[in-house]
Amino acid sequence: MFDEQRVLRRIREGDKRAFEELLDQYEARLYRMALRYTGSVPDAEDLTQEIFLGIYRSIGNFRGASRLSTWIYRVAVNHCLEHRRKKRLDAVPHNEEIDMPSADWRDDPVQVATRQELATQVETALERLSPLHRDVILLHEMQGLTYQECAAVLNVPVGTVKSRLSNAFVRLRELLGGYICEGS
Amino acid sequence: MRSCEAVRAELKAYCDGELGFLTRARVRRHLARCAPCQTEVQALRRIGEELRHLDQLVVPSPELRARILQSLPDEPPVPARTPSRSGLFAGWTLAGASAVAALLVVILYRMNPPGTTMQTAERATVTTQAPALAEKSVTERPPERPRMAKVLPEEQQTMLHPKAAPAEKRTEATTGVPPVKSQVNLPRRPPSFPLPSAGSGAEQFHSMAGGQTLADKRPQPTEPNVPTVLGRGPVSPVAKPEDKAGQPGFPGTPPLQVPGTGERRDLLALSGKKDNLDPVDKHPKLGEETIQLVVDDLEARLGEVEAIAKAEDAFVGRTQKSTDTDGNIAASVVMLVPAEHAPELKKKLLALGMEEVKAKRFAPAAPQESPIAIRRAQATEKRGGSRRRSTDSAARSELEDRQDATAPAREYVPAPERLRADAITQQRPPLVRFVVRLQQYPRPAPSPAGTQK
Repeated sequence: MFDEQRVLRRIREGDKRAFEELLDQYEARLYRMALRYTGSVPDAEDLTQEIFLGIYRSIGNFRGASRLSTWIYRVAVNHCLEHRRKKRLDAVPHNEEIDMPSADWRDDPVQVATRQELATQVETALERLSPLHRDVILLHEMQGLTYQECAAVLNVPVGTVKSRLSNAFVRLRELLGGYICEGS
Repeated sequence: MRSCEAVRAELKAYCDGELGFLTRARVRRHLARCAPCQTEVQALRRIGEELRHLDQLVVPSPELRARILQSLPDEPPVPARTPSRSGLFAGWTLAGASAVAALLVVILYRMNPPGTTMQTAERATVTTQAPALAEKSVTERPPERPRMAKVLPEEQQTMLHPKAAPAEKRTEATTGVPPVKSQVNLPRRPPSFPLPSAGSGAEQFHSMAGGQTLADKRPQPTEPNVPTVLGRGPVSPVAKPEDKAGQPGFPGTPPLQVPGTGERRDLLALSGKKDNLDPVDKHPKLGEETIQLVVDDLEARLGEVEAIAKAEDAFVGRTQKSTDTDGNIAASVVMLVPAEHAPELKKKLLALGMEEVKAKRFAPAAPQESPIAIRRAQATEKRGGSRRRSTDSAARSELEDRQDATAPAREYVPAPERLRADAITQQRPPLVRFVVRLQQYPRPAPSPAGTQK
């Protein structure tokens, strides 16, 4: 069980093992987020390293006004936005890392092919979204944050998160119209 | 029927479970009859599944973890000092706070009713001097304190707030506006209780310090050379417009101070005049609560609400029903209930359905004697204990009594007149006004043929 307060206290005391617990909890999630923002594995690893270094350096300033996870995502999103601002990179497709079918489908080649094609189209549609819509989809759909947490991380009202998500899905629905209908 | 465009804006939040209870119920009701929106929900869910599946297989390499741990500094993280909290900006913060505080003081000083703030000292001055002298400007007028020392007795000098006269001088000196002693002509009779919205800093300070208001310490009518009206006390001279127009700085004179509502009521009560306020509304301990419930069957629950109200000795007022554009039915019931029955009534009402919104304006305070209630009770006792009733209310009461006698199995409901009178004379505990709003849970309409397949 991940006890935020205990881990937080031990990290502040300089316990590196406590920070490893934090890594276990958030490394994969933040790496995926970094991969979405950078578009390449080396850049994502560099960005993930920067994020955790930033977390370690500034965790002494965390005052407990929000949940630790919200604060960590806020730090991570700030690093990602800074990275995007610096590099001005358009999203680079990285299908080779993410559209691997799971082992559960391999028995049915038709389903595997359908799923691969749909994943490719979803990926392409996601890249065509505006950054604002993509950010909120990354946090809510891929990271599993609630509307409230997304609002806290992005520093916008909950209603804004709601409308951005709704508009983003309307846009995705338009872009994926045929695939989603066939898939359904 | 709710339009598809309006519902589709909520569909994503509906899929995520982020809608409120009523909105969710409305969307669900719409979905039950709208096949295209059902398809849209399925599509949104499918897209969400695909998005969540995209990153599931992405895992960081084991080397990344080692890189992160190696890059961590050896020293433990310490909270960084923000430069705005110390050093250069600390002085600026303090200076800004001081400036804001000074600005607030000036604003409050300007907004503070000079007529009420300086009224006591000014009135004492005016009533002991000739009106012509009182209307002189500051430059022509000798200092206040020596003149008061000449005229007022020693004990009455101590009644004045020590800072009142200097504040008056400051007002004139800073604004160039003469004090508004002649603009307010209130009755001079000292009230038996502190005015609720007297609001002047000097009087409040004095009240806190000595437990007695300055109004109680004003010069009494027995003072020589003081004109009185009907034994109510000295009369404040009213300046004529032509006199004020000649004063220096008159265009900046503050407007006439209008007393607050509570003060107005008390003054009306003192002067014996009637106002058009409902006696129940005047009652100081009358609370109000609003309960909003979502119920399954509105008609049945409405009957239960009225039965509960009667059981709790409440008077049920108006009941209104309404239907919105979606066909949702709602009703509102207003009732008056004795405060001692209010918790039980609320408990029973909340058991009727799901509480949607609970709005509570203010709770009834602990019972305490109201000045108005005391005065009215005393007046009632003087009249031999009989309450004066209007002809209409007496006739209505007789009619109700007659109806009560003829109705066989009807529960006793106190008449509103009696409730009001009892509340006013403190024979019963204070009343609480309950507003119960019932919203019927939207039922799914029978789906059109073909949509359920």
